[in-house]
Amino acid sequence: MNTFVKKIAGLLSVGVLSIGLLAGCGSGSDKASKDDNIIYLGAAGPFTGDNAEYGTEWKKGFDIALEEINAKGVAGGKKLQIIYEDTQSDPKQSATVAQKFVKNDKIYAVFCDFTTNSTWSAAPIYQKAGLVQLAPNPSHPQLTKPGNYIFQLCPTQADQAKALSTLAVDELKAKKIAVIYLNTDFGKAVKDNVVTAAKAKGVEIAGEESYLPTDKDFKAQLTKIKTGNPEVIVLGSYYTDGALIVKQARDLGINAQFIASSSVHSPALFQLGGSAVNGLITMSVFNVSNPGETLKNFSAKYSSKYKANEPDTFATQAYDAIRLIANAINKTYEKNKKVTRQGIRDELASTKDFPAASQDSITYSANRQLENAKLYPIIAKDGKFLPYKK
Amino acid sequence: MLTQQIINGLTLGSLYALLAVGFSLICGILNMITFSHGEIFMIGAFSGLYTIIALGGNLPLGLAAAVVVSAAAGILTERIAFRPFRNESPLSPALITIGLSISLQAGILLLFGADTKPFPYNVSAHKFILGNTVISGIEVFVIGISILLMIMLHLFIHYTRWGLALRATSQRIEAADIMGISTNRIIAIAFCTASLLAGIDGLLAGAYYSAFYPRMGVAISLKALAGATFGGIGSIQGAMAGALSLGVIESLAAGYISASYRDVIAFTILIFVLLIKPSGLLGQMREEKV
Repeated sequence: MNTFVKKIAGLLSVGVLSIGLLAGCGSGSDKASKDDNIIYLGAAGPFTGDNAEYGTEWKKGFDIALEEINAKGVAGGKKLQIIYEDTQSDPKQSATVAQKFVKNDKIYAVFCDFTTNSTWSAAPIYQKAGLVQLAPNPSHPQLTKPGNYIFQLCPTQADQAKALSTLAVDELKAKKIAVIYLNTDFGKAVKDNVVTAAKAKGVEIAGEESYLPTDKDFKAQLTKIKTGNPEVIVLGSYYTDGALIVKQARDLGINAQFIASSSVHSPALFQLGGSAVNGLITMSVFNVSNPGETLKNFSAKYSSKYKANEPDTFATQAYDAIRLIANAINKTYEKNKKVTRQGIRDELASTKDFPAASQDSITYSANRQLENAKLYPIIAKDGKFLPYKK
Repeated sequence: MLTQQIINGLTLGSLYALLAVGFSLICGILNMITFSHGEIFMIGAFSGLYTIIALGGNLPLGLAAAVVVSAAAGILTERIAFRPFRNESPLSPALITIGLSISLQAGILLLFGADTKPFPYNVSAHKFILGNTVISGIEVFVIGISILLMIMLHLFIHYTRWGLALRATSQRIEAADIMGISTNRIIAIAFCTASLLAGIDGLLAGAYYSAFYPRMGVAISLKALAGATFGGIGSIQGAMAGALSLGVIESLAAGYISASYRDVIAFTILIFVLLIKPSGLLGQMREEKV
């Protein structure tokens, strides 16, 4: 039996090798002519693994943007194409993918990555090679510290914390708040910034509880928080865990008002949380109550293409990410009649008043973060997010 | 808060226990460990969920689908990963089941997508409120079903002829073979039993948390394996006691010390118990494994 297994293994590996060789030959023959008309971009994100669902939303946003951009063409009629590499938003894999991308001189800019950790692990590699690393979702206030090739697209947790604590204290008049957060750089940034901002306003912190990315049972933490009797509970969560936390809290008879960072802004929140998430207030990075032309256009295309009510934060930011890069490519091509990695960086850094979907307009600050990031409070109600008014 | 945390812990522990007895059953009879048990839990959950959705809410048929699919997957696992290597290194089945677990996760991811699927019914509608403690109907259901299945498993092993054969095989395969027991069939029955329990557990856990996703079996199966070892791997009662106590310890650690240190505390206690009593809480002499 053993030799039989070995034979099969041997046959399989020969098969795989020869398929690889054949594929290599096939794509090599007509590559030269095709490649001249294509500008490649790299996307390093979580397409499998624990965060795969967010990577799926990236792809949806990317696809809509590519259709629009490639209909017109960039840099004098060239097409944009994305090379996907899966990192599972694991810092180790993100660094490996970065090595691969920087070596491929056909790639002009990269979207990387979903989490702060995995963005940072790849950052020194992109920085050294001089390749733009645009991070669509991470919201860590210090995200762009590693160098001048890294760009942030999400309002930072400092921005969010300011908005969340203003909401909790000034509008909801809470005296006691509690925080439940995902124990990662992202979640800790939410917790630290909210706690600092709330304490500055003289509010009592009735509990700080963390959980792990793999957790689905939050009852132990919630039971503990219940004893502190907070009026408002702040969530530093993504929508999947956020929905389950609110649901389990209601099961335990916790009636506090939940507010959450923009990462729960997704229609999936309602599928997972049902009626339990009614009344949850979160921050939208995009202007739901008064959408601009870009957002209206994207929402309409997203709804018809994916048969969903509305796009979520992740798809919208992915859509903007590509449009920003395409814009930078066009501008550098106009000026220099050619496209370089450096040229894209320079033009991206000087982006000013660019009409976008995830924000009404995007202007990059000297730190390559959003200048005047705006957040729009929205409330979850019967399967829809509505603008929140007092 | 104490009673509430104990209820939370018991529910969590019941979900661990149904997986833990499976580990115990397989390890008790073969002295080998399977690493794809969590994925059998997951595909049981998915087949149950999709049957329920397809039939417009037929819960018993959903449960039946979970049982049939996971039992079939268990028997298949035994044929592919264990039978060819029975008298060889236990490393081969370990590696094959790790590979199997990765391919099953990836397969489900490709088939059904990465997003977390909710359970289409609100299962926490009924609540019992005792002072400060809230017990939802589904918690009672989860704990109840888990205990019921354990009792049935106990009766099966100790009071049926197949159970007798199972115990004989676990004591010594060769001797059982000579005595005319079809050990191949008995081992397949052990896998089948362990797997159908995992499948039911998967559907229960998915409904309880209202979350079905390709990696749902990963963390819980590791905890269940730890619980089984804690209680004494190879012993059914031990696995059950170990899993329940692991659930309660975790809840109490999160409630009274810190949720960040929950696993650290739970596993430190586990290591100490194993240092003092290497066979686990209820582990006995090797001869009485199943």
